[in-house]
Amino acid sequence: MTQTDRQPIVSVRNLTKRFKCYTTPAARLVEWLSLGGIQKHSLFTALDDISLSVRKGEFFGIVGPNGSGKSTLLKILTGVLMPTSGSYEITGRVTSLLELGTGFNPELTGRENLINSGRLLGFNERETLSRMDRIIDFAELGEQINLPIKYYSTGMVVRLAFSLFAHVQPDVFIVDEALSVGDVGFSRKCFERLDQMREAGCTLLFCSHDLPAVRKYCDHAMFLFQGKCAYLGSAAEATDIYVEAMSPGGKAHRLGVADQDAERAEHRAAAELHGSMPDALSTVFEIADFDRVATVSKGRVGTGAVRIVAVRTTDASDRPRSTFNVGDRMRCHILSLAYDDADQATVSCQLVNRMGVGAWGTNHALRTGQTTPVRRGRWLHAVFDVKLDIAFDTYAIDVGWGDASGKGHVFDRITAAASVTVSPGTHLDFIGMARLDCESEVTEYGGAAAGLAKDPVGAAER
Amino acid sequence: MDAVVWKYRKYVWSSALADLRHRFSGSVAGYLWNVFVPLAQLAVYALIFGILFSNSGMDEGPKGPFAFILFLCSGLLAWNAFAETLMRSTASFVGNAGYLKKLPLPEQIFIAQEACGGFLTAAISIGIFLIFAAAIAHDGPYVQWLQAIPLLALFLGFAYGLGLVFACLHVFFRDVQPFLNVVVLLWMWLTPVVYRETILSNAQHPHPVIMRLLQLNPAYHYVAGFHDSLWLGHWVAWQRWVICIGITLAVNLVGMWVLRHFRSEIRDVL
Repeated sequence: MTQTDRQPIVSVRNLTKRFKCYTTPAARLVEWLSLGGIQKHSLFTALDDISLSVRKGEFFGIVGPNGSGKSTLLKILTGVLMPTSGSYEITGRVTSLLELGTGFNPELTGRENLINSGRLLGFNERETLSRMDRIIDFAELGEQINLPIKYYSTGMVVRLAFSLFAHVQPDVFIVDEALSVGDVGFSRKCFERLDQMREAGCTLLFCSHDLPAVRKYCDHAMFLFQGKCAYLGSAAEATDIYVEAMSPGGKAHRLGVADQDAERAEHRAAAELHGSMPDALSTVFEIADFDRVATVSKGRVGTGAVRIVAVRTTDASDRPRSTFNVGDRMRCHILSLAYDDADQATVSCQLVNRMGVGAWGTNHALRTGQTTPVRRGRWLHAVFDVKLDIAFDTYAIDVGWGDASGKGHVFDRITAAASVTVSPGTHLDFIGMARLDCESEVTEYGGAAAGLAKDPVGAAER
Repeated sequence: MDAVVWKYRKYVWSSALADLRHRFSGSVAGYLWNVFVPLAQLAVYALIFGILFSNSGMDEGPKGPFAFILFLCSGLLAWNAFAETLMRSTASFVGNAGYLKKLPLPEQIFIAQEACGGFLTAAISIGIFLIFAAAIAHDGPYVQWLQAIPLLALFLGFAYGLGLVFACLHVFFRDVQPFLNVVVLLWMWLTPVVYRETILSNAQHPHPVIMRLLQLNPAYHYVAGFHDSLWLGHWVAWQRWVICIGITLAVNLVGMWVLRHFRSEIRDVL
């Protein structure tokens, strides 16, 4: 690589963005009329002292929970919002998929919209026209390009928009969570196109909740939390830290909580439980595992006859672990405490992907045909040992205890008690949701010469 | 009006056209409604003022059964374009929030788009009116009519400048547009648009205070210019041109200053 290739193409220095918040429009009026003498607004800091630099051809990921400032940062880099302090510099043309389809007028046809959006985005008109065929071809719209886009499906509009943006060759391409809209085939095509753009020297800023995609495509990434940069470095590291921090009760939940007394009381209760658990389990569960499960009330239902107090995922030798590769074995440990007697109880475990789809789930009674008798005051340690032959994604783990006698009482059920990220690893020999157990074979036979002459599918023409 | 808008001129123009085309989309008459609505309004005014109050007070200008309607159209068509452009401009930042929240566009292009749309509609309806004047009312054609083109541009330039100010304010206070609606209605009656300024005082001896007050109403100068050129077929006095150009420029400078001052906060609030 030459020296110029290593120049940062995007550089952000100490960027801070604060929004003025007024409770009512009248409050603003009072402030204006008093010429600022009466201050009625409160300041909300959306971005706090962010610095980063991205080199030419690099793919840079931004991860973080909703409201962490990802979009604000990208909007500032796009030029939609202006920073309160700090500065940023981008060399070359910036195009942002934030704009996906926003320049489109529903009354105009796809083709007219391409020209119109091109004008709106300040693209050279001749450039758009000369690439028109390739854009339409990529969007796979066919004849429908001449219909008003109000007749298009959402996916079609997204395809059209992505095609336009991907073919105008920006120097910096900003993608904000838009690529998941298309169907699987198109989504893959988008990523292939991104690879081509990278080879052509395009720099990508990618903001997404699709952590495996961030790990796969980005060189570096930033984990934004409450407007602050919580981590800046390799994409794999950033997503790991993010997953860990965001699991219920994780480190991130400790930040910025107003009610510190309640917090401390909860922590004491968790610590007490941790201290009293059976010694044999002390290598499996850490105090943090109690912290994020024992006292949570959000996403929790049940009679409380059995209460889950800690959930932990580990590798085969019971070492704590929350990122796996496809095909790895994961052990999900669920520690519970019985507060009441129940003759026929069972424990369940479910993996839910980011789209909220239950990818897999089972309960102990269903698997073994045996219910579990529960006695008041006893510890219950359940383990689900799962082979993760499943699509790479981030999964929430829902756990629960319930009555298996057919009365259907839920004793305790926690949504997203933990989360795991499954990465492609080396076993990426499949596409889709599940890596089903599969054998394939191809057998060769002779004597096809007569059949070739007929050319039934017109292969020769192609 | 400024260099940034020029960069987006093609977008402004094509979307102004598309907007006119689609404003009444789904209707059978389509584009014709843009022309039909103002003409119908004129017919109502003509009926009320022309027939009920007879053609009284028309001591100048063309005579005959169409005397009043000729006067009325010469000022009211332009006023309508002005008022409509101003109202639509005021709502345009809020209305185009979808764009402004996502695209690094200069805000003023949405107001420019309204001004272009207003210019097109007014040009067409004034054109129809002038054909009517020449063919049916036997008044003209006069070469002085051509002055209406720059006058209209200046008048809508005035609306554009005001629009910059009010569109900014409307982002912060949604009261601005309904309030302005009332103000513009009042403003129309304070401006001699549907009546002659001479009925405010004696035509031979104009009341000095009233005439002074009229001079202070910026819209008066544009409307009077339209009356001079379209109704009377006179050349507009150079003093009037100077005043109109001056007002338009001044209001635009203020508007651009206001926009620059609030630009960042507008984006935050939208």
